[in-house]
Amino acid sequence: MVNILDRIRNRWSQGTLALALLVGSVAGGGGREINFDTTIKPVLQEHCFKCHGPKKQKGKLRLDTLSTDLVQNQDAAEAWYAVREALTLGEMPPEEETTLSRDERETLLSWLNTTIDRAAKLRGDKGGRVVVRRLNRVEYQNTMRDLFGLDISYAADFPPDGVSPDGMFNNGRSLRMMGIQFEYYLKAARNALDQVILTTPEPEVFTHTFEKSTEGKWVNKIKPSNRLGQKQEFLVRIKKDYPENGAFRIKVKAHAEFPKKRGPLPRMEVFVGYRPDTLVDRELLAELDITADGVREYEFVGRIENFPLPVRGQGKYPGLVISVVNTNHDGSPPLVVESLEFQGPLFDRWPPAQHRRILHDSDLRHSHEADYALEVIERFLPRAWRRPVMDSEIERFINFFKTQRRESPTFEEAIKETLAMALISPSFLYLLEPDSDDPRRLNSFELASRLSYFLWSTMPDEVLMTSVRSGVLQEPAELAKQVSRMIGDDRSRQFVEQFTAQWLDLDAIDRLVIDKKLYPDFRPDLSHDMRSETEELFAHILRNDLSARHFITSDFVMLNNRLARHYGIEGIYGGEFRPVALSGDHASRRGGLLSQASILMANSTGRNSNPIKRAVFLRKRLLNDPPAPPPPNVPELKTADPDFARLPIREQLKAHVNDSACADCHRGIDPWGLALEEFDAVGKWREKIVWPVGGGKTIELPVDAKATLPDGREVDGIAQLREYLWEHRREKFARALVSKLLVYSLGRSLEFSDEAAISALTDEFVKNEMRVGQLLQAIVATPMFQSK
Amino acid sequence: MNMESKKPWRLNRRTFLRGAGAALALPALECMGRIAPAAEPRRLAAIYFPFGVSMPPADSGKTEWSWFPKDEGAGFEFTKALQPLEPLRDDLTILGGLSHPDVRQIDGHDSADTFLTGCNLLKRKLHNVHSMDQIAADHLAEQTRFASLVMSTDGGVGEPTRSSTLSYNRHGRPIPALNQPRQIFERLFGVGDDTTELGRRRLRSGSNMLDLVLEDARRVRGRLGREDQDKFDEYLDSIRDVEKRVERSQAWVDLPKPEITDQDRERLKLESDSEVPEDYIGTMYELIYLAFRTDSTRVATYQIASMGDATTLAGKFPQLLGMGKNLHSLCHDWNKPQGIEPLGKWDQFLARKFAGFLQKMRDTPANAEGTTNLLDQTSIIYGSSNSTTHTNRNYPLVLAGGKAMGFKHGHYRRFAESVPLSNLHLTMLRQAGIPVKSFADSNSMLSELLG
Repeated sequence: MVNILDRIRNRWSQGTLALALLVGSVAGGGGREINFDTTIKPVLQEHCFKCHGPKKQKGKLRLDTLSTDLVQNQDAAEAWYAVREALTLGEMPPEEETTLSRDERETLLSWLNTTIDRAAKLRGDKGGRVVVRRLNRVEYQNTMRDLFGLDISYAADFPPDGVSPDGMFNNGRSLRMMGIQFEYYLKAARNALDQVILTTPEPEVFTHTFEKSTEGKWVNKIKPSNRLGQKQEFLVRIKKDYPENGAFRIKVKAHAEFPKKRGPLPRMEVFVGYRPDTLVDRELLAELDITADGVREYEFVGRIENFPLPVRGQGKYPGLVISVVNTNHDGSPPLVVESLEFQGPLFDRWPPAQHRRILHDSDLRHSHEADYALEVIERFLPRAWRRPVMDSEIERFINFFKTQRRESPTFEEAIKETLAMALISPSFLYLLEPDSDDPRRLNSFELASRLSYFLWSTMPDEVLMTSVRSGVLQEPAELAKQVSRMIGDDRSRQFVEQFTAQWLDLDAIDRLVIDKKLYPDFRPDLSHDMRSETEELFAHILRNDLSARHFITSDFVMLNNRLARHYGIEGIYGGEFRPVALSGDHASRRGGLLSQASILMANSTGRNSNPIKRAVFLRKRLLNDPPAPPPPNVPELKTADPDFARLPIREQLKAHVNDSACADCHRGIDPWGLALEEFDAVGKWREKIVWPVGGGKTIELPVDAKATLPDGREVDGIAQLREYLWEHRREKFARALVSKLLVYSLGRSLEFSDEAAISALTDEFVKNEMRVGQLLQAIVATPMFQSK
Repeated sequence: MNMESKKPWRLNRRTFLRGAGAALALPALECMGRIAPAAEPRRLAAIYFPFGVSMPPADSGKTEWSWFPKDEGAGFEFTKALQPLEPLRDDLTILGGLSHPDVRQIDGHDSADTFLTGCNLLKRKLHNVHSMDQIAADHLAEQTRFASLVMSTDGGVGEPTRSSTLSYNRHGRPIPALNQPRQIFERLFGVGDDTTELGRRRLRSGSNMLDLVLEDARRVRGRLGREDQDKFDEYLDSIRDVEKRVERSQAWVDLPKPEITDQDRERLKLESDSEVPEDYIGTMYELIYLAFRTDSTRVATYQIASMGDATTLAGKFPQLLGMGKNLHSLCHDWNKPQGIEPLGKWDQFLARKFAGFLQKMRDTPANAEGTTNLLDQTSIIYGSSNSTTHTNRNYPLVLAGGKAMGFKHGHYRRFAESVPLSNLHLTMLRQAGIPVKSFADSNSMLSELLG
């Protein structure tokens, strides 16, 4: 049954129901021709009330008392909507119950269609409303970085954000604000300004050049060397003369000795840190494939405060340690480092650019300090607040500055406090769209913010603001042009990372422990590549405006050498991801999200596949049809038989279907996961199942991926499952993706009254061969995106 | 909840400190407390874990792994699951049978939010109510530098029915839990800015700033739609809360943050995270202990794992500890023959960490004569809102400490299902000197727990 509880949850979490609806009283019940009481109710009585009536309320649904007033009663509207879906998909009534006659089915559907459509129209123009929301942690971090042009950590102290019932981290209702959170906003604002506005004298610039490693030994029997294979590192220590703040640059002069034949590439990784006895206290600065012959100079830039540094004068390991590593262990030629140069801190002049961006050069600085402060405030506020600022607001800030100045020994201290105030203001922390008891169109500044937090997870850039100021952003052609530009911009990567993570719950990868005994070859750092594969697929589809079909079934996959090795695909060299056409057995095994290791692993137990988790993933994430959670005090499966654990998962799951308390839901869950049984816990293809039976023992079982799907069709394995999904659930998937993107773009959950808009977008999306880039364009063009 | 009227003669701590001078030692003087006879500090803590405990069927042959002890009363016998608590027998009571009646009907995995609140979330559009610990914190706020310490392994608030905090403020809004040991330590004991000249100036300017921002925010609120206004009130309340904090910081500014000894520092593993459960949980307990010992706060909560079976970072704790399955599956196997022992071992692991904390509290004298100790001045509730997984009844609970607050221990007490858990919450509040007449659906004190 469709998950009513979840729908109800969604709505509840939206707090007060949007029942301030000013719709007049609409007679409940019935479409134009069909009378509920005389025609519909008897059918329901015969077929449905047994399980959804006074005695039982399976799936928490009770039909005999359900209101037929879909306009006033949102609960009822959503429940009837779910009923229609279950009927349309043939999921209800269940097999073992009396089937509906064709006439009965048509009558029911006809009444449902008319009633739902009519109610949707009546409620429609009210729609769901976006609730004022604050920036989440990621958006805050990105916004501060872009506001100050300084890539350091700003949000590390913030408590994790609340997640919405639909799994999103940008939902206004779930993003709470509390005292302790606010306290850290103030702290973060002050810290940031302390980093940006520098009152220290110009620092000494250190330059060090090394031609040999300076260290004698390292962890794990690694030997210092210039020639880097598996067991060597180029390792240098700067004892005293290094900066603790600011940008630095490392230049590595190196070459690789390539054989004639094409083969694995060396991969250079550069780490900065301080401990030789553990790998924890060093961080990756950069990595890249070495693809070309000859000696070349590779240059990497970073901020030293983002790396672990020793406390000066303390500890066993003084000094900054830089190491160069060749991480490719698949027989790549050695990488030879000829020299390494470190230089820092880097700045064009003092104070550095990010300081001058806030405290600009001006004669007023010393002659007329208060006038200068005014200029600083006038330049800063509109950027920080992403909108024009009123004179009265400026005035409050300048007055505050003046008060502060009397108490502060320096100008800088007073102006820092003043600007910090701007960063704890609601105009910075929130996406404010005021004056809106009734729906209204966004003004162009609000639109620009909505757009850039949607497509970039950060503040609008200068180009977008220029479009706003010249008054053209709201013109459809200009808007479309901006959306294309933004998708093409590197910052859209932030959208890809945020959206894929929230849509597909990629964080689940990190919540899992892979059993080392059962998967001795699995390296935990591969999970990073797994995650990248999913992001890379989305990015590739978006960048090239490809069809969302590739999420379901695809003739290519995004791979780098490590993941290719994991999948058993040969001939892929280098750590960068690229599309790889599938051939041979791989063509039927891989392609699409459901065959990605990230998703298969995240939805495993860490020891074996988990058909239930995989099935729930498929229904919840890909079809937007999450199964109901287990009821309270759920009876446990009768599994006291000690041999139960030795049974194949398929046999174990049969207990679900044999137990009537479980069967109703699990018939609609288990088969989806069983069809993915060809993949083990880490997403590798398997010919047999190694099944742990307790006490560290395992048994081997044959792979069986046959499944009877809820509509009675049978599939055997991933290839047929994908085919089925594409043939029979394409629209449902399209609708699910549209909904998820819409939820993300609006920062709110959807409700019944949004159905019409979702349908329209879905129709257009499907007609457009499900091109994702065009879908983003279409979402931005909707009134719901452009209005509050 | 009913509050007794405030005593008009009560001294304001700030005035008091100003008058007495900064050199005054910290532990509050009795005349400042809201309850006149409370000569000694009284503290409250709550520790929570999800998904229930091992309750092997009687015929399983493995009842030694049962969480609940054998036999009731003073002669009860510890099983393996709670074995580590044996040395603390006289400082704790094991409670059986209690639960929140209103919560029994909701999903088994929806009940963590209500452990300290007792309300049926689903009947309240998922809005919670003031939690027991925060009622105490609001009362005791002025006694210490921090009103409360709210922690969880997952941090933040999670989502309703899968919350990652145990604590809810007076509006029923979840209080974000902190989960980074280093950050919590800095907050409690870091030298911070407050002690420097710059820090003092910033405290003053912070006050002005917050006034202005509040004013500004009020203007913004006036221009918002009705629904937005409701949401935006969170922001206004946050500013007010921070104003109070700043005000309090000013009152405390002349008192240096408490000293932490080198031994303390050795024990703390501030860089530990959820990848190493042994260290992480130990460090979180250590932080509560230090916060209490230094009288930095009188109220602390720690949620070891959330009920978000798919989302909690603690889900993999048992796997990391070599117990095979993830937490949720481990707990689900409570009635499977091969599932009893692993779950019992997990229970035992949690009990061992808890025992370590209690032990340290007991070993710390709380007055010069050494006649009382930290544990005697602190009542601690430890447990879960599931007995076996999904079952919101018969919560497995330990009440520890508080002998100086009137508690009498050394029993395993079973209660009838008609007794609401709120009676325990009420008892804890009252014994901590909080003048409440009732809590949630409480109908009486649990007088059998008192000496």
